[in-house]
Amino acid sequence: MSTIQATIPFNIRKKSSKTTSFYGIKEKAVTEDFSNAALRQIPELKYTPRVKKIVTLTSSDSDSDADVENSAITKRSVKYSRKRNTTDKVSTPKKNNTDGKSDHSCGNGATPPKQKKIEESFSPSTPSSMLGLLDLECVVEDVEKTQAKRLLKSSKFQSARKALHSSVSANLPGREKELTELREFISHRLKNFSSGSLYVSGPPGTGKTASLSKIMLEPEFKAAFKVIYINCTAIKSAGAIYAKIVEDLGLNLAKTEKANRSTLEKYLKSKHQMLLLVLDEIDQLTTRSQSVLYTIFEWPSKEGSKLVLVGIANALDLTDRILPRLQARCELRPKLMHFAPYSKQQIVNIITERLEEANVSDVLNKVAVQMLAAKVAAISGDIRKALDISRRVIEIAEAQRVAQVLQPCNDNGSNIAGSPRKQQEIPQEKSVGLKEVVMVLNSVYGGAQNINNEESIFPLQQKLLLCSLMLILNKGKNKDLTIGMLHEVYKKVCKKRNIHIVDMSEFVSLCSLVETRGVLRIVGKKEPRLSKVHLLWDQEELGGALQDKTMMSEILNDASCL
Amino acid sequence: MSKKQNMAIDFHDNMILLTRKYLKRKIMCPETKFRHHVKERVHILDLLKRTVENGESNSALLIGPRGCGKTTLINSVLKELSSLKSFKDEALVVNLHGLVHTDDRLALKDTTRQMQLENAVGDKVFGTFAENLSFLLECLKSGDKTQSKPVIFILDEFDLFCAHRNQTLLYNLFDVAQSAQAPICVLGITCRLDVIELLEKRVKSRFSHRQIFLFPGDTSGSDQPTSAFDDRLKLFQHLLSLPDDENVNETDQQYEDCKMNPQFGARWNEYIKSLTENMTMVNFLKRMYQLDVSERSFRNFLALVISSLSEKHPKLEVNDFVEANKFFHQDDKVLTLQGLSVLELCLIIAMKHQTEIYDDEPLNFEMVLNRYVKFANQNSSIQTVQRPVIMKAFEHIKNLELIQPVGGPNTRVEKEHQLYKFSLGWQQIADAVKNYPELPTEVSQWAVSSLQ
Repeated sequence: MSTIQATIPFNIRKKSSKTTSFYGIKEKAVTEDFSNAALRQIPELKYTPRVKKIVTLTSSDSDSDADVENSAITKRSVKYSRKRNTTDKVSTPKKNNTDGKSDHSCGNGATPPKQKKIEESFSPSTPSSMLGLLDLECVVEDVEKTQAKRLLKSSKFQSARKALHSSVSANLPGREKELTELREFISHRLKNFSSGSLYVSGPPGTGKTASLSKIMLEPEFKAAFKVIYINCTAIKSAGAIYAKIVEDLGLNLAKTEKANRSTLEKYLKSKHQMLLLVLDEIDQLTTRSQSVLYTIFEWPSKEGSKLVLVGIANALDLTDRILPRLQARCELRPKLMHFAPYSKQQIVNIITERLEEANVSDVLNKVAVQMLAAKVAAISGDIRKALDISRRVIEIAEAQRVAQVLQPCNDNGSNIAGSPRKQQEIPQEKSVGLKEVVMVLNSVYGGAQNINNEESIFPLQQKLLLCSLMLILNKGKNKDLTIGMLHEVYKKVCKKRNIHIVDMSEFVSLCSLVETRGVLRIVGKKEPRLSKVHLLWDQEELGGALQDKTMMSEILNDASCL
Repeated sequence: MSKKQNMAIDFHDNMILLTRKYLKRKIMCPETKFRHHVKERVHILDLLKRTVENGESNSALLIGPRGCGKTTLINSVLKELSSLKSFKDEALVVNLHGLVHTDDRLALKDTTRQMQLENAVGDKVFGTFAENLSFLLECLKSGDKTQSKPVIFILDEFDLFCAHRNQTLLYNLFDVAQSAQAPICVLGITCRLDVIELLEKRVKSRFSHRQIFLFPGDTSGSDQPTSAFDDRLKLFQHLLSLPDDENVNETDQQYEDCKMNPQFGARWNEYIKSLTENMTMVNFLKRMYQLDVSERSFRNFLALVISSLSEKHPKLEVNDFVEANKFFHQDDKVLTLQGLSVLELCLIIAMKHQTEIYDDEPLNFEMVLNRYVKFANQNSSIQTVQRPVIMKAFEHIKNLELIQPVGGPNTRVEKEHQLYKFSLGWQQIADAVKNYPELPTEVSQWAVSSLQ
């Protein structure tokens, strides 16, 4: 159930739990004293306005901004004894010292083993040296939790909420095909001891990372490969990726980027175990010359590198757009794989399966799940969104103690003016538009027999967006259109068809989702409403991709929407 | 005003000073009592409670216009939670502010400091950005639902965090909240209604789409449904009242040095209550409320009124409120004009005529000079002055930014020919001319006639 991560053990600077002297924040009750200011006119008290003062919890030492100022003013660090540290209970946010075995026995009074007291002249070692001594798991402060409380509280709703949390589950329904494809790709390379590269693309929330994590956990691959998983957002700059890989391989870390790179290349030349390198959010590595990406994608073609490289990102055309030189040589060309947005049925399957695993399948009734899935699938096909919304539904149901989710109620738990999508989680009454939406969606993605083999099908709202765009380009006079103008036309098109209209902010995100397919180019990201939209594809090509001739021609011949 | 209020309250000198001190503190210091938005408050309370007690991870955005009590709401929720034992012992609160932590490096350093991780010693944090980030993520990822402390991140001015490079911090925080790692709760506070559009799609997908909107004038929290204005009246009464017999013991610690005489407090409160029934006062407050509904500006206004209390002036009259309100609605441009010399005012009038006749075309020094000289030659009483002196006056007007240069100040044009746009309204000039002390009559006549 947990995600993959390379656990780096850390050395822990041990602290006696009975330290009396400590260099730290000077605790100070902040009180504004206006008494003298009113009576005397000599402004003796310098009143420093603070940005904000959150209530300081009585237990924790206050970390308010005022203290920061104080510590800045007093150059000398002030000795003081912490109240908290005098107790033997492990309640400080300091990690308690688990002796290398990371056993979380956290009974009352289990004090961490003591080390030498820290002298006053303690000069803290820098983390670089601390990180260098990797021999301990780094664990966030453990907390004693009474299990009894847990058991009492675990209701049906709570287990349902837990099941619907977006943490990765053991099996991924709706992604079987992709999984087999991935397995084939990797095991084929494994048999021949050859190298290869793969680029996985798809909108966010379509299960890319989850699928790869699952693959990486499988025992046959785990044994045969040295697996390295890196999320590129956690890296400061593109060049730092080398250092990270070197570190994960357990080689000696060099100072410069170049040295690290040569270290890696030496390693790839030498005799070594097969290496499976997974780079998540690989588009974070783009630089002006793209040298980093080119270097990484060229490694598999080297002699005896035995490296299988998998890159994950959102944009479908990343390799064509920013790595054109890869196309020149056949052996460099990465295999492409696209994760399409989830269809309604897949979303329904996922939700019901999760609920069944937790034995609470009666919490949500079928119609509710269907409706929810239809809504999400029509807009983005993002499973995270679907799970979040279903969790919200359960919360609201729990608040009302109603197991039947679909009951008209006026207390929607939150006023979601910004997203009409959610207002219909619990339909107030059978509104006309709603029935129509469900009907249209069922005709477009009609459940199981319609799960088609077309990868490139657009969700309904994205189709409408593209049709509105084509209508403007064909019939309109103004060729220089912005997202705001496009939204106006789109609203009219939807109104004509009685289809639920997504609001502006959702529309902007729809545009950016279509952009990742390479159909549009949006220029000027500063003000989302004013950014210009350019169509990159050919009109016929787009018509072929939309696959819904009747609706398209209807919209395109309807100039009254302009 | 009825006769009843004129009863002789023995206004003790010291009492009045104490009153002033007490009320000022009450008005200016943010309380952690929150009055409205009960539904929203319960929503946030539930979120935080679930994070702390069940180890669920959540993220939410609190959105509302400035001064509608977003931070107050969070503070009151935290105050309520801090009385729970489980929260006190287990939860860590990390406050980040978009104006202070202007990039991810600073935000990360402060997070490390507030979580008191191993690479923080006192309030110094060691290591580079990348090291800190990997360390923090390592800490959060190695935790799990049952055994780690829940961490609550409160991001004030959330929209400024969206401007950071690649939104690295937001991506990582939301990612931890989405996966089965240490339980964290990310609360964003912002006043931009379209903040969701600023998020990158990968960040947006990881955010749980809970947007909680706060709008002022929502009185769902009171016992009986009242109109928004009645609520304002209640607030008025509450802010100006002193502790009396009933609630003399309820005063907080922060007011300890203002020990009030309960009899005096009771009389004072009665007087304030009579103010809220006074028709002129109510109408005045209504007018104010129509202009500005935010509570913060109302508090500032009351603080100004309270400042006028003194030994010589021991009572709040309706007139005090009206006077204080004038401070808030003064036209500062008119005041600026009244502080100019006669020559400068003449130039302003010349500019006004120029823009009136030529329909908002930009003007330069030569045109204004031409117009002024014509006027000065016709009226013997106006002294003709040298051109450099007039130039000086013109530059003074420019420095006050009553005229704005067109096309940037650094274009290579001589001073006399640099084009300017005139940025005053006719009414403002008319007011200034009317109120200018000892203005020659010719000038005021010239200001009215525009055909010169």
